[in-house]
Amino acid sequence: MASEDEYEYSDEGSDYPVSDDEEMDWSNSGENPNAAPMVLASSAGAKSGIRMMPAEDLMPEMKRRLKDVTEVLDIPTAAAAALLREHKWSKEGLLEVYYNDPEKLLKKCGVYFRCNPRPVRPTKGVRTCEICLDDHQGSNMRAMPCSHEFCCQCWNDFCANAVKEEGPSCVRATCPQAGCSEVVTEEEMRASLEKDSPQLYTRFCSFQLRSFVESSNFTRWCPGKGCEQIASAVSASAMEQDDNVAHCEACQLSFCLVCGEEPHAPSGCKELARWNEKCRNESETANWILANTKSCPKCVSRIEKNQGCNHMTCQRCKGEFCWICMGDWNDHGANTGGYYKCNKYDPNNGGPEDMSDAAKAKRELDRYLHYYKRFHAHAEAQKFAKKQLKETEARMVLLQESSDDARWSDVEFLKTANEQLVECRRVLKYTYVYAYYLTATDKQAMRKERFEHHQEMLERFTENLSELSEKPLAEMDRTDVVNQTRVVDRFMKNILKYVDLEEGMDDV
Amino acid sequence: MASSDGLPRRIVKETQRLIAEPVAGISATPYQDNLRYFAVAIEGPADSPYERGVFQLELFLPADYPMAPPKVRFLTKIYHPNVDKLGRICLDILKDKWSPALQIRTVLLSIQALLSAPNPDDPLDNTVAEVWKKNEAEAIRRAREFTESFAMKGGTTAASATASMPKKSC
Repeated sequence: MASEDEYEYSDEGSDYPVSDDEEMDWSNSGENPNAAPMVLASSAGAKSGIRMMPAEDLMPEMKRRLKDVTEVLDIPTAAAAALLREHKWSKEGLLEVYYNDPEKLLKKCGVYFRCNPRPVRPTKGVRTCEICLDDHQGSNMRAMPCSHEFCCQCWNDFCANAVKEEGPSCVRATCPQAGCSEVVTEEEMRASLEKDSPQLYTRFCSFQLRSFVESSNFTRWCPGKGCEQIASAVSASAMEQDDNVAHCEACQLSFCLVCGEEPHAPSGCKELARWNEKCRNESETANWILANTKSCPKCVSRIEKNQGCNHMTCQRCKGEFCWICMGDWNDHGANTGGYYKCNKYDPNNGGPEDMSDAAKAKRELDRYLHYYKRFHAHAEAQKFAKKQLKETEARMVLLQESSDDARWSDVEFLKTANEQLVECRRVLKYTYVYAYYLTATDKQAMRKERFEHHQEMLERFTENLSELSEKPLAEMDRTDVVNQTRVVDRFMKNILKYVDLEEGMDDV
Repeated sequence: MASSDGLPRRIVKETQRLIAEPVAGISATPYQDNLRYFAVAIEGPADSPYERGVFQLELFLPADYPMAPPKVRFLTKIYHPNVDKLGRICLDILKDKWSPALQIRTVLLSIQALLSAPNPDDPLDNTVAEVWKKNEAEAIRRAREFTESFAMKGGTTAASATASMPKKSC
């Protein structure tokens, strides 16, 4: 199965619950908030309540939220925009704070006078503009709701300067009067710029939209270089899962909507953040200990790993060993009964009876290194697999040419296998983050054991597939690869589903 | 006399008013060869360690003034938690709190007020601020010493800075 299918494909398609308030229906113009709930696919670990769209397509949703708050609070749209912006565009979040102390909130967000305007001054009579110090007819003066007025030319200069000089933060510009914190909104910007500097007004509007995307917690820019697509959750409940995977077709990039990182199931966003922080802090030690090369356990010549498979064969002595545990590969065979046992960390290795601080620290470091080593190994293997994926097309062409009656669809299995490999390496990588944070309480001991069993299976079949897919084309067995691909996919889904179920039990 | 061609009306008006209605204890005189560049002298406020001192500053109005704030710097050495060794000033209205409705006059008044009420909690010079917070008496003593050494008549500065001063860029 192609990797992008993973988030759309479903073998038990289920109706997705949609909350009343935050429901977003992109398929029609957003006029009907109670439209039929979307049917969403659900595959193990990845819920595709997420869509990619160009920024402009978010406009209706932004307007809908504005309209909603405008009506509920009975305030001008411009005020609602400023209020929502300060509350991550969540109506609930805003209303909760608002009803505590409306006046305080309006003042804090710079929209108090927008909602309680001061009397408008007459258009007759001559007054001095505080900016240019020239006298103007009242009709040539334009005022903010806070009653601070300036001549039209100075307003234009002020707004143009704000958009040009302040950039995205111009959506938070305040009244030109010194010490006044009333916010300059779309109304003033439109009055000042729309006619004379339409391109600046367009820029202001795009900054507004940008602030919407960046401050609301259900949207995120695609992290792809120069990509202007936005990932957006279809509903609030779609945001409640820890692993919200978005996939951008344009840059062939998957990312987590919540934290923006690479999809990291089964580990959660918080665990991943802690892990990354830890790896940053300890990277020097870890790097020092885990150099890029290892010695062959038999002949001690240095070996650099240049392919993804962990089954190593020393060029010099032909000895076979496992890259992860450096043990004999024969121990990893099914017939020895000890198939791929190296995913387990045994804390008893360090002698648990030694309770000194130094020994504890050493054990903690060993524990971390155990997981980091495997995390790192799969990360590297993932890179190899990605590199290999790029070269796959050329291999496919060769494979097709090698047989007389082969069609393109007959060689596509190679690409599928490779994509599956990348996915598995990624998931395996994050299983070690997940496992690192699984503490050994009684309740979790059993869970950990089962998790490690799943992990072991996935690891074992991933290695198999990795080896198969790296074989020379002449030895390539299509049925074998196709089967392995399917099996490995099943194991990957199993482990994600297992974690999902266990976490679900915790929540109850 | 340099011509005022191309000088915005607002700057001309401000300058005229500064000369016609000077603020007590503050003088600001534009250079003849660059009317956006001012020689400023501020008298140390009474009941402050800067009392009886006269502090020289330079003030420059950038091209986008009044949409952008003026650039101001102390030329006279001063012991103050919000002024660093290069004479740069930490004052909100010279940065993010600038408003085009403020003027040279209001900026200079704010600087004078800063001399009356140093704010060691928002320091530019950490060592000075540290002394100010831990031992205010000592800080005031040092500030007075600086004032006597650098800001009194006959010291290193001349309050009568005028037209023929060397060109300076900001």
